Amino acid sequence: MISFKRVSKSYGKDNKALRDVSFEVEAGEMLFLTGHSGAGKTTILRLLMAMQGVSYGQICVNGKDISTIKSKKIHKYRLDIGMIFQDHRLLDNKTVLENVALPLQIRGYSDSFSFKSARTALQQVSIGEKAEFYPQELSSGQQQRVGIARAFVSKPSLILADEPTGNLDPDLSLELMQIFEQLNKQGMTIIIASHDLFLIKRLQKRVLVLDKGELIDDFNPQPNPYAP
Amino acid sequence: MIKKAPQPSVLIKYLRGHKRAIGEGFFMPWQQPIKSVMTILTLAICFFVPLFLWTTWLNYDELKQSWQQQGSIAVFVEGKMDLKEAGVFIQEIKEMPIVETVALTNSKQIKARLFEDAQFSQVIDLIQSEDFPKQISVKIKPGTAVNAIDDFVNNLTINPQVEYVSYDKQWFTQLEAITQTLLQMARISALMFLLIVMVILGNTIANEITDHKNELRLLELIGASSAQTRRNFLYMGVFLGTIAALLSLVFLKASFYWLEETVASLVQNFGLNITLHGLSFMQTLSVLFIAILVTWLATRLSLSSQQLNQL
Repeated sequence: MISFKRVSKSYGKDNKALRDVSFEVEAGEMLFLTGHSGAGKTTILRLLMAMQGVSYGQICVNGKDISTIKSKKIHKYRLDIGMIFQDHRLLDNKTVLENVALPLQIRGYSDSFSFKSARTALQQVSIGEKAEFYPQELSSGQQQRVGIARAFVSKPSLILADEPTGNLDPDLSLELMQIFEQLNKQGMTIIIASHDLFLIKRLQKRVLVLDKGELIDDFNPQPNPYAP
Repeated sequence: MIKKAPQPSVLIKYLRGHKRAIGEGFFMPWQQPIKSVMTILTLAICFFVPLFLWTTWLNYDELKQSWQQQGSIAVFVEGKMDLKEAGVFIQEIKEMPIVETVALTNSKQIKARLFEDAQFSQVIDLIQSEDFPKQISVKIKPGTAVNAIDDFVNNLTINPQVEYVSYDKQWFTQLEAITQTLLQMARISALMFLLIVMVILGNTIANEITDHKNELRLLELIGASSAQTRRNFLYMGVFLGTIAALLSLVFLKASFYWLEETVASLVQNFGLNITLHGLSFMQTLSVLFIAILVTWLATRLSLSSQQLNQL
């Protein structure tokens, strides 16, 4: 589904965010991008969202080189991607329900269908009772759940999450990861940028390790036979 | 395989998008009500000035026609011309495209009119023996150019049946010059104020875009096209423009109501009977249409220059 071929990304002359990164992701896979701050995790997500272009190399999604998509057509490419941000990026002047319904409304669905689907999505992330609240009335963990619901409500084939558990306690983080696992089971490809090694180990999914813009490891951890 | 709901058709998507944008565009200005009211008031004043000039111009046009008719052309024909010949000659003049009315005044009527004047009556007594020529009074159609009147007078002058043509060319020329000057001033003012409208509205939209920068960025990231992100702002601009145009019409009505008595007294002193009138229904609709067009254009230009993709 996704193929990075010798991708490099530079900001200015000396600041190389990615260096010759190559990997492939199959449809329906769930994987983690990990590494220290500045390792290049967010850059990979930004490149996948076509928010930036590559400096060198090629990124193909579903066989199409995304650098060849014209700026006027980028929104069509993004319609099949759900993005989750560390800072949630919810609209304060809209209710939780309206925030979640937004991707469906953009896709041209009726208000009744959009709100009905948004309610179902909110129930899936166990926050259905907060539908009429405004984002600022929710805790950080609840806001992140809203962000997740907004990302999958339109049932995209790819979900990108940038440090989704960044500000959350371990229990809440684990709950959110279980939501991602459920979405993955529904067939969505999920890429999560995270530096939470505890969480990554618990989930036993493929891990891409980045360091200073280089891909230094790509492994699939084996389940620990001694784990409780 | 992910099971998705069937996608709505392009037309349905377009119509729903506009329906939502109208609602959002109407709602957006009221998030900062004081700022929006100030913008509406400023735009209304900018619309009011050219509108006032235009309506004054329409009233002036009526006044001009009245003045122009005061400057009729007097054609004096030979005294020996009999009534039948005069009738044929009058018919010829009537058929001219610039002529509105023609009236024959015979020498007795001229004498009678002159006798009505105390000073003239003494002079007339002295020239009783002389026969007066017949006079044909010609009224020119309103709005006729001075050149056309000039040509008409020249043709009459070379006519052997005509003794003399009295025509106050200076009056027509001055009236024409005043009219042209006023018209140009009105045009320049209207253009300047429309430009101001565009600048104010452009600035308002630019500020709104900055205020909603994060929202716009998010919309783009979740798949909204540039057109979709722009729509709300377009409707907001049009909404502000329409409210401002309606307000400027109220201002116009109020100012004409206020001026009515003063102007009536002024024109009466000049022996004219003209009442100040506002805009007709069709003219009001035209004003609203132009206001919507101008604000739409200003918003569109502002949005293009903001380069939403670069936010």
